[in-house]
Amino acid sequence: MNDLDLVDRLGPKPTDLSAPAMGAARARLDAAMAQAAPVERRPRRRLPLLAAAAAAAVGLAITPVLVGSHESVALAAVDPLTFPLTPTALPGGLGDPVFERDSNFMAARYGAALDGVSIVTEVEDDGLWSIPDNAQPAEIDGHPATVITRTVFNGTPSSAPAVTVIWHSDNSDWTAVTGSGSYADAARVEAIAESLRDRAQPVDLALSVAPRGWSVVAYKEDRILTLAASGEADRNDLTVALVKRLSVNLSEYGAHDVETLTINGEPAQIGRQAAEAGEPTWVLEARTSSGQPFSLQAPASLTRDQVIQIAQGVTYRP
Amino acid sequence: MRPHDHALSPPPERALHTILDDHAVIAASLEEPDAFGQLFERHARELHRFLSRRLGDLADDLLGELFVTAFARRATYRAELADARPWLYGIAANLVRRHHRAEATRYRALARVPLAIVAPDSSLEAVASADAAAVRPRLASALAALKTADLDVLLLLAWGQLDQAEVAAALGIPLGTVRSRLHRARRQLRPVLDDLQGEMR
Repeated sequence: MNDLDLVDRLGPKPTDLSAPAMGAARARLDAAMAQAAPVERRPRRRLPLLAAAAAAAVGLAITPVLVGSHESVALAAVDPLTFPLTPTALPGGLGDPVFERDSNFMAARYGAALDGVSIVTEVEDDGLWSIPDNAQPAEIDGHPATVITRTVFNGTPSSAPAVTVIWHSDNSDWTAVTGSGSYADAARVEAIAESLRDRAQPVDLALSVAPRGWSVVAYKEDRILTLAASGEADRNDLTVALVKRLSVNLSEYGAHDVETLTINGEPAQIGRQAAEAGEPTWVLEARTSSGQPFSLQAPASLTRDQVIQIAQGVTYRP
Repeated sequence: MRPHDHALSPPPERALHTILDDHAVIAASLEEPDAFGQLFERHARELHRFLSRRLGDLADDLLGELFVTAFARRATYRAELADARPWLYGIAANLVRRHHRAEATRYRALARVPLAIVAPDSSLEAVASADAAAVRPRLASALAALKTADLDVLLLLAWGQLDQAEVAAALGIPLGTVRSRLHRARRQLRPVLDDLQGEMR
């Protein structure tokens, strides 16, 4: 038996991929595909998380559950999500930033993905980037840094050259500044990196209340905000997504027991996800006080009134 | 015959239609995004096995992220690669690197697990014999001590069943670097592997 066989045979064994886990993973892919899909897929694009939750339940034997029957969940104020840094020497014309948060980074993008500047921080491991052998040394704010040239993509066949400078900041996290397209210039990118200040920027989409102890686990393109209890991302999460317009009737998208109500002085709808979709969730569509339509998906552990209270606290300030 | 023993020979268990179709599926998904779902159907279980061996239950959450990442990067897929597995494993390895602390913690925890509680943990099911269960914690401890870059190469070969050329493609590194990292990992594991070899006889 050779070394690799030994490592294979005696290493940790794989865990089984359960049907719900496989369904949840497939649902995330479905949601991503729906975002990129042509016009005829619009219903899925508008409510991708409904589809996600539906697929997450594939293979489960579903017993109807009384939605909102749990009394133990309490709402509490939510700490606003902010991007911790502000560049003070950004080239003109790039406009306002778009923010993104994932499990292992927080990012701000100025301009387009293929022609702009992005800042990624709160990264615990520089393995987030592939650092080639020809990387160049640099110094940012007194810290040793690495400059790499690479190609960036935006999810289409298009790509652009980019320069990224990466360094380890005082707070033990890694930070990177990337200039792409016409901003892919090492000196320019390093100057932007040097100009970063610890000045927090609030994101556009926010909640004022959420289940106590829950925190933001994902924030995408200033359009989708997801909160979850610690360690429970992707399961029973609470998601707010901006939509272009409100549905005529939520039942068209698999919701049932749809009820019309008023939120922020505007017509809104709340319903429950179709039983065959598995674990029942709340779905709600309304407008923020600034008039922005949004959809909200919330777990069954919340009551109807709690879901409405959360929806009333959704704000969007671009 | 193991795939990594013969770098230029595709493993026989990979059906030709699968090998030839992956690239076509990815190319089609540029126009019709839904087509990418076929890639999930083909490879999700295998990639989950790899992720779960390295990260345990965290694999459940990362599987979706892996395919969403792959979907977002599908335009970067190199047309000359008919089989998407190395590409997907490369993305998987990147995801694992982001959670290297969790991986190291997992191995250290496995190294400390008393034999009495090995059996109930599905991730530690006995593989072939009581002997195997007895030596596994020592291997876990040795894996925890490897550099991430070396560990990536070793485990893509041993658990991902890729060959060396595929590992090079997966990690975007030269073949020579794969060999040097594998050599370093083997050298570091040598004392443990020699012991295990003896005990397994």
